Amino acid sequence: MLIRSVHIANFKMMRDVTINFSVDPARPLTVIRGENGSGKTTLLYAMLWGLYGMNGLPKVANADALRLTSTFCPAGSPVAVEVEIVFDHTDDMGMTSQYRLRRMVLETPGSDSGYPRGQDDVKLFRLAPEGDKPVMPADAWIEHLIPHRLSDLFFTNGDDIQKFISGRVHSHERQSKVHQAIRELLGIEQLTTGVADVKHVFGNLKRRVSAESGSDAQKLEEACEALRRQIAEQEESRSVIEDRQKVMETHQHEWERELNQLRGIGDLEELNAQIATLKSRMRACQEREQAALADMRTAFRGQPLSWALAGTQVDEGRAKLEELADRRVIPNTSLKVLEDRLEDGECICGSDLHPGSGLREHVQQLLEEQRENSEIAQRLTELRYDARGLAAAGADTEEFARRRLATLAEYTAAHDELVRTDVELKQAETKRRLIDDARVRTLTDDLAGVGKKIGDGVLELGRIAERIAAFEGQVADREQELAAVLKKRRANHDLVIKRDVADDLRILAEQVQGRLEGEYVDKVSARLQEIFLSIIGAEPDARLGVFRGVSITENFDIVVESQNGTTLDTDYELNGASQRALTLAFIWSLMEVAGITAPRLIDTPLGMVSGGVKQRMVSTITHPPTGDEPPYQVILLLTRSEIMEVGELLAQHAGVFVTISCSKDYPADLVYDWLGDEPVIRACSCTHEQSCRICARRIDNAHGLAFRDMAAAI
Amino acid sequence: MAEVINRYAAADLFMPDDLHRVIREHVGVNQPFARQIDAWWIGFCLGVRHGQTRPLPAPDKRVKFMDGAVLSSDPWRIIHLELVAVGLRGEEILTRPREVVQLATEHANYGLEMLVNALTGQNEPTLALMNFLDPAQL
Repeated sequence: MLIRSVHIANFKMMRDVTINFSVDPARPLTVIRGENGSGKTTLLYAMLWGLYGMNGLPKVANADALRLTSTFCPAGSPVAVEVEIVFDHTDDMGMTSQYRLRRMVLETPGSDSGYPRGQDDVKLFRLAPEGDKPVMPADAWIEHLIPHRLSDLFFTNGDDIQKFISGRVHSHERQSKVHQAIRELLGIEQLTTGVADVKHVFGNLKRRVSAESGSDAQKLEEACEALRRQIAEQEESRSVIEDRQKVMETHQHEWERELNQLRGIGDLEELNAQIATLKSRMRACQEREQAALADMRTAFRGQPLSWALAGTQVDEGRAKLEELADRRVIPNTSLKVLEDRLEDGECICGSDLHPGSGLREHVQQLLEEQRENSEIAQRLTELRYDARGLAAAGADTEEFARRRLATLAEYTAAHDELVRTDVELKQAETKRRLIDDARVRTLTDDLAGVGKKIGDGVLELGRIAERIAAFEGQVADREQELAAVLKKRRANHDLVIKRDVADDLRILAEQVQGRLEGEYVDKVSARLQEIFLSIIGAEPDARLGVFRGVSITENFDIVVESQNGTTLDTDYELNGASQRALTLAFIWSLMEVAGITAPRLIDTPLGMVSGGVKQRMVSTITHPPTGDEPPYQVILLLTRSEIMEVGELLAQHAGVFVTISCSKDYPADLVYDWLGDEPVIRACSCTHEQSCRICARRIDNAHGLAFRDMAAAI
Repeated sequence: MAEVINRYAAADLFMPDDLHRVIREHVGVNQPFARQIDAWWIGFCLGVRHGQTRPLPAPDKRVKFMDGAVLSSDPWRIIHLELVAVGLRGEEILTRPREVVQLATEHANYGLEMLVNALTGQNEPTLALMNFLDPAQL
């Protein structure tokens, strides 16, 4: 199937848009360029709706509540929403025909009960020179040509691109998607139906042969049938249990992972102990800080500070006192001597100092003078002695400086340690906050519970296997008895031959089915690796490469191997570009191996991709088919920034370029006003190097686009 | 050492009002100064070290924070005060206690301004003050 064109009417802001796609095998690419909000995703959804109706749109809680019409449509008036898709289909015989699929529905916007819609009117026509012929039923045809359950392969949104690889999708769901895609696209599903049909025919023939061989044989056959039914019941039970086991194992894996993450942060008790130690250390640091500050305060009121600051002037005072002492002004000892001499009446020189003597009068005058100075001298003397006492006790002008440095150093050391400890404490507390203790307990309990259930399941599977083995033994015995009976009483020869042929066919079909499935998976796996490594530019045997290989496991998981052989987590160990590369490689390899001709429409595939990977990715997914590759069609919905770096490649491989724009962007981004009453999306045929009156944007000059002075509407 | 006689016990000790408002906020438990006299004394030492004074402002712009009796609690301060006074003004000044107190007050006023500048706006004033009181830099 190759899509030739789509016409969209009244779907969101696409009031009347027609887009033609390239169906040229030599230029399989159609580039639909549009900036954010221009309508690329609207186009994707319109096509999905056109093909699959509301089921095709993204799953939301209430799909019917999704509005198809623009919010600008007047309330109360029914609007005909219509999508018409014209496509080519080549049948199994190699005949190619053109079809037109038209889906229409009436939606009434803005009423109280939401957006009531009528029944979809879906019509499919085969286009022929003699006139269009309706094809019935249209939905079934579309489901056959491009099955809805595989729509992820054909229509991929850049944001949902990890559906086939992401660990965030439940593993059984992911595996089922890959498995289903492989079975459907490679025709294995049809073979399975065929095997079931042959089994059914074989069973009927067996019953008929037994019925014709007498009541004993019939009874034995009925016994075998009953046993087989019991085996089937047991197998069904086993299948149910296995599915349940898978779901439980998925949960177990997720819970273990979450628990390991939580435990990886740190054991709670250990963290609590660490936090207590850190808090204690914090307190000790704070105490050290406070002690250093207290020492400083003590130093502020101590004598050393006084010496340190005013020592020079204090020493000057002391020096003056010493000078007075040297001049014998202090201490004043002459006062006592003079008093003693006057009392004795004899001078120290032997002269008479008795009353009436001439010298006594002179000595008395000296005594009076000394008495006047005695008070100040006394004070100076005392001060001199006090000063000497202070000096003797420690007149160290450097003591304060030493103490200052010591207290500052102590404070700084304590403070630094406090800051470091605080950081450690905050980190530990953050870690502890991250550990949701309740969640750890819940997970532990859940894991214990699910572990037990899985264990019970394994035991139950074992019991079922034993029962099946016993039943199969009984069937073998009965069949042996039956063979003996049948040998004695031969049934209709033709019937026996038919039965035997049917049995041979059954065995053959089952073997073919198993082999095909294995072979196809291997082929897809090999091609997947080839494409993926080619896109990301890795060599499997390169010593320094990160990736060694990609494969599809028996469980239909897509796994990426690292250089040292370990499996990489596609969510966490693959960057965005590699994730996209892997998904695209899977889709491409699958379609190549299946030889399917189908559109591959991808919305914004190149986000997060740049440089060489971007070049190789575009080259891989857009190159014309070579050798035995079937024709294919690639429709890329790209923003301007995605086109950067790969413009030339796109121009080489693109058969059609379309630019879509939305009038709501005028005047902020668009240059021209389209003069409409409401915002609408329009398409023009401009390439990434052109602009016209529809798509011209204010930023175009910066990109050097060639302006076509016309509306290049299509 | 014999008991030091405090001849300044009767004298009033003043600070300029604007400086006192800051200093009193830094006196008390876990503050740089246990008592206002401790701040005043450092101010005095700073004024002496720089050889600078600031006159006592008018009575309405000054605050009596204590009297000279407080000096008795640290007798060495009396000795330092008198030695500084003798060094600066000669031994005669000791006969004029009021002049000694005035000399000290004017030096303290200068130093208190430096202290206030060092303390203002600091998260840990004690630490800031210790950083400031670097004899090598003052």
